Amino acid sequence: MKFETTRFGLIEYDEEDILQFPDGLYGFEREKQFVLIPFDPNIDCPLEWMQSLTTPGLAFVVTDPYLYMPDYRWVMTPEEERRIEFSGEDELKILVIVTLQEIFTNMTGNFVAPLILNSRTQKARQVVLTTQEYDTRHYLLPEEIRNAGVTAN
Amino acid sequence: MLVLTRKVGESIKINDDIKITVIEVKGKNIRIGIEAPSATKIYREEVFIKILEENQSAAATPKVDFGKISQLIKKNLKP
Repeated sequence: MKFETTRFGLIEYDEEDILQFPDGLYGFEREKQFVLIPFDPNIDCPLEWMQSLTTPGLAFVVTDPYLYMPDYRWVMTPEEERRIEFSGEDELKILVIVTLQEIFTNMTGNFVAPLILNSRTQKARQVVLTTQEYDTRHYLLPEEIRNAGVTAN
Repeated sequence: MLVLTRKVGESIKINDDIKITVIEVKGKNIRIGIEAPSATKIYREEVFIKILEENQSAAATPKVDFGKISQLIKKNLKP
């Protein structure tokens, strides 16, 4: 299958690569299909792109929250579990959406609303955590790196 | 919107299993108690709005050098 994107040009993917978000994302309720694209094909990088298959210009940067917070915890309600056809934790992949900043060392991850993907069914959902422990703008890089304030444009 | 008036100590039931009680009124602040099944998601509306806004910000990726970012992230995570 093929889709013309703004950022990556023409991308090719298989049907089983499509992540299905039956309810879209918060604020993007009509965006129900995405594919993951390596962030940088030349480097083994923990970031990935999540490209919309509805809007050519829409792509989020996502990453594995456990790389930054090994004890990260999330909860789904039974209804949310049903929506992604959950049947066991071992089939799940957890991602957080990254917000890049002009000063790119300040990039943050949204740890309040992770994306929970069922890698067996490719069904996925953005889940709001009700705990007050996490931030929608959690810095991904340690403070000493952020203070160096490198710009990347 | 359904609008009801309640006194302190009075409650509103939603379905069979959700109960909202006015605990205290102090000036402009109202303390509300909510009893609901543990699977019910309850959060302040601001949390929800913050998530909407953060998704919007994340979608507006600034023009940055992605190669530099990947190298920096990699350097700082993988020993």
